[in-house]
Amino acid sequence: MPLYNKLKEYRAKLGVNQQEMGALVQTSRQTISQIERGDYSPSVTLALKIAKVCGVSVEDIFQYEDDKE
Amino acid sequence: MDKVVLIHRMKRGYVMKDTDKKVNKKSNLKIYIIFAVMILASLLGGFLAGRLAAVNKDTLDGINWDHIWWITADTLPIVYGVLMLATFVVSFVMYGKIKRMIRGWDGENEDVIVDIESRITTASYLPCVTVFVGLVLFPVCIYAVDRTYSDGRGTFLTVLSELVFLISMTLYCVVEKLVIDEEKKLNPEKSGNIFDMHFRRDWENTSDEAELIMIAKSSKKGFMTGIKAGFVMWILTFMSMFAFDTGVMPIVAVGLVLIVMYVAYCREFVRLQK
Repeated sequence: MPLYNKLKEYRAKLGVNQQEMGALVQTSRQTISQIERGDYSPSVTLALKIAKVCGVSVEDIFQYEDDKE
Repeated sequence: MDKVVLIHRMKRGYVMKDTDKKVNKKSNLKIYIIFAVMILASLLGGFLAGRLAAVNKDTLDGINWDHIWWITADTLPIVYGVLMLATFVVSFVMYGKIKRMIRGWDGENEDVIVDIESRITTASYLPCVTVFVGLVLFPVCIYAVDRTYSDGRGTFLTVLSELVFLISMTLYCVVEKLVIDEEKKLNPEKSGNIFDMHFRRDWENTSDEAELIMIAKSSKKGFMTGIKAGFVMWILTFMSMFAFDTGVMPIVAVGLVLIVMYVAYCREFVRLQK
């Protein structure tokens, strides 16, 4: 099930690069990069941390679509 | 309805219609037919390979193995040395490039950092693969030289092979240390010293969730590839037992490795289930 995210947008609003974002949410730059590319879906804990740092709710950053026939 | 979509919907409480049950039944029947055909093809292949070996036994017995070992003894230590040297030269050149790229990175350009990380992975794995190749070439060199020569030339080639082996191990440690240090500059939260027995544990303890999943997926892929390669080696060592009189040691060694791999996998799986 595809998980869409606007992490890159919110990161740009914060004015931090991927490495700094990773440091803020206690994860690696690679993980931030993979999330932004849609290659990795974060755990609930990480998603909550990201949302808290960005000052928005999890649903504002991450959305998913139901399967279409 | 497509079988993948069907399975996905069943997981969410979807109740199968009659048409869906027919799709499921048809897919299973196809699987059984393919499996039966593969078993028959394997039986036929094994029979034909055995017949071929039996018919050509005189040809196999007529091969001049002393000549082959003589050529191997003369050339393989040098080939081994050149291969190791070339690989480690490439590794050091890659390391130099990585160091320059990291120094020049502005901390923003994502394409550059992805390229750097890809190069770090290659620079780390290339010496590792080379050392594993050396684990095959080194004993073959020693055996070939021991079998062919008993004079000064034999001693020279043996010492050369041993030196190449020792130098390759040393260079491997040096390259790994340099590359890991560069990785730590990019990811300061990572810890671990490659000379420490617990390096892998310390490195994984400082890995985040995405990295741990990457490690798990790579390990699974490695395990599955190892199992498949093990079965192929089992077939080859079984045939060579009769075709080349290699004895039972090779097939016993392959079998033991397969047993250890699979038992370790099952034990860990059971432990994680609890």
